[in-house]
Amino acid sequence: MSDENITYKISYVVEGGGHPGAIINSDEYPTPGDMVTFDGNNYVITDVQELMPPLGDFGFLHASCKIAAD
Amino acid sequence: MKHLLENVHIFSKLSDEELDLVIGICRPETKEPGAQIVLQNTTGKDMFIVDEGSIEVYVEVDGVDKTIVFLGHGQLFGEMTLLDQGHRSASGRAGKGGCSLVRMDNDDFKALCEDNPKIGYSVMKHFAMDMAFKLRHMNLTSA
Repeated sequence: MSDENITYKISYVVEGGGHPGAIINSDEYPTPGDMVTFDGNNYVITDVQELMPPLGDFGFLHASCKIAAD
Repeated sequence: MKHLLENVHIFSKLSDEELDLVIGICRPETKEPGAQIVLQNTTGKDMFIVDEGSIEVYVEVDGVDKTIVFLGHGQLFGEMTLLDQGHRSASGRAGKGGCSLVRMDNDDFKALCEDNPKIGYSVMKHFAMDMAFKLRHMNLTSA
């Protein structure tokens, strides 16, 4: 699912546990290898799945990520 | 500000005219890194929408702050007091990079919804989905 008119509500979960993750909306569909910044750190996305069925102009995604190497 | 509100799920079904009414009760603010926004167990009558940067949401557990989520662009914070008039269930402060946000007075928001039932219905319907999404996120991070 990727459309220029859709807003994606994304649940970012950091691999390995112990991190609360983040929820961020984006106009861009996230893909593995993309970078995302929260908590003052850069993370690389490793996997993306649909968390809830899309509704209207919104998509609901779960993205796994890990802290990016310096 | 219209682009921000269009990216907020609870406002996603509103017309341009309805969004303008919502914009009329919004107050943009900028917060320095770490600036306190709300405190757990206090009363409050505002909710917030994150524009840029993030809000660190945390609770106090045995005297220690425990972060439960970072909320970024397009996320609501503090909306539970709108629904239940209870004390804040969590604290919030600006993330390490600071943040810009929009503050909405709950009384103004309630009045807007009562005067415009279509806005009220749409917002309340999407509130539930927003909370479901947050719960799913919490389940994933606590697994």
